[in-house]
Amino acid sequence: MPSRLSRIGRLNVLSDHHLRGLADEELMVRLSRGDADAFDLIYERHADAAFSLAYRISGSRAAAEEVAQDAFLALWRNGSRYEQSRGSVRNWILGIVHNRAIDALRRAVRHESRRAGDEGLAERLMAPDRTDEEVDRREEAGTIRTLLGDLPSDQRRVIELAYFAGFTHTEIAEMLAIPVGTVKGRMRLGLEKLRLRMEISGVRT
Amino acid sequence: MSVSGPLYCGKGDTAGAYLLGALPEDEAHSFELHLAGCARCQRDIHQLASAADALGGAVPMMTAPTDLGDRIRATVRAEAELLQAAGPEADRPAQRTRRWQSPRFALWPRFAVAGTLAVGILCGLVVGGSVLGSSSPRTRTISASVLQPGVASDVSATLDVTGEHGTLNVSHFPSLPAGRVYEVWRVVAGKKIPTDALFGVDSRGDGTVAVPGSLHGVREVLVTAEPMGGSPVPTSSPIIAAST
Repeated sequence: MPSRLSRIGRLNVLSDHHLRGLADEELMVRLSRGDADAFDLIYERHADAAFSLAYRISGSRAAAEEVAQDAFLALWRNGSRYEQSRGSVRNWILGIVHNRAIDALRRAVRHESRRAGDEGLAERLMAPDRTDEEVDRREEAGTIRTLLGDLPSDQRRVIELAYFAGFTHTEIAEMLAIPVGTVKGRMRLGLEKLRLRMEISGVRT
Repeated sequence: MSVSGPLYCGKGDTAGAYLLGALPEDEAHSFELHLAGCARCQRDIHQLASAADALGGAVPMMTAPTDLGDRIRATVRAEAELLQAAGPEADRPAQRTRRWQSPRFALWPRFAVAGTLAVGILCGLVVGGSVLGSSSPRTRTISASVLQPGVASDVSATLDVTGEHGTLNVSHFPSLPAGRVYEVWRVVAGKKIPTDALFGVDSRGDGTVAVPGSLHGVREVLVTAEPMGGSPVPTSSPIIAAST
């Protein structure tokens, strides 16, 4: 089996200009072979989204930084595990961030303190739009938030409690005093409606 | 209607809960096993995944702190240089997935060694615990205690601490039996906090793993031998202990 270093040796050295012209999937190939420049670009493109999701879940800057750092270093060390067939690089990164943020949340059992976290930080760190692509992404994110907000409240609530707050279906069932099966049913219905409305709105993921 | 449909497979609406991360770990694992043989649930996953994936990108966008990027890039650059310097021995295969896109990283042994030493029994063989010095003005190298019976005299473990982050290095350690892996723990306020850092050693018994997260408030970094995939609580006694 060729070593990682030997694979590095076969990489062509690209100028920053050419590197920036590569798609995420092409950068991941180079990253998996130890190309730190490719990692820099992946980080540059997705750091804000990763940090934003980590902050949304953890509720504090320190915790969000820790989650984002762990996620990106895991990406660097395990980049070869990315499979294009499973979706975009961005969604893969956000999946890592989500899982690590929820794991940290559950470990720390800090649901209460989290909500009393860094008040006002969100406003201070609101990202300016720097490129057309970022403008598109921000608009798309806003559309998805709107679509999520338009779901029936009982469906939206179980989705948000699970995805952003890290509660399990049994915890949500206890919290809302409804059967677990009802929680799971609402999750499925909500996601299905969200998917259909995303398609109608032309949202790509 | 297919007999593998949700009304018949018994997993009905589970796909949505699974994609949202709302299943406890044991139930998620059970569903993954079921998923492999249920076309209906596979279709549910395929249909609902785009909506679940979209949630992560739908939060209000913020700017990642500049110093966060500086720290991450510095670590990546340093590791890239180490890989170059280490040559072909630097190859590091990846490891398992806990959920469908949830990577936990590890450094697996390249060769299994039969008849390795039993692990997890404290013997008090203390290699050291003092600060040896620093390779740079900002890095402290802490010699860790190796707590294992019958190990060779040349085993050693060190914790390199740079700022609030640490990297554990082991040398001449025994490979673990099949199905076992070394797991790193952080001790905070007397509690052992599990990490995602799982690792093995190469054919020379050497291994390196970053301690996830900040060492701020961490009194000690421990290593135990755990079942493959790691454990949320220690199932054996510490093999390595490094006081920060």
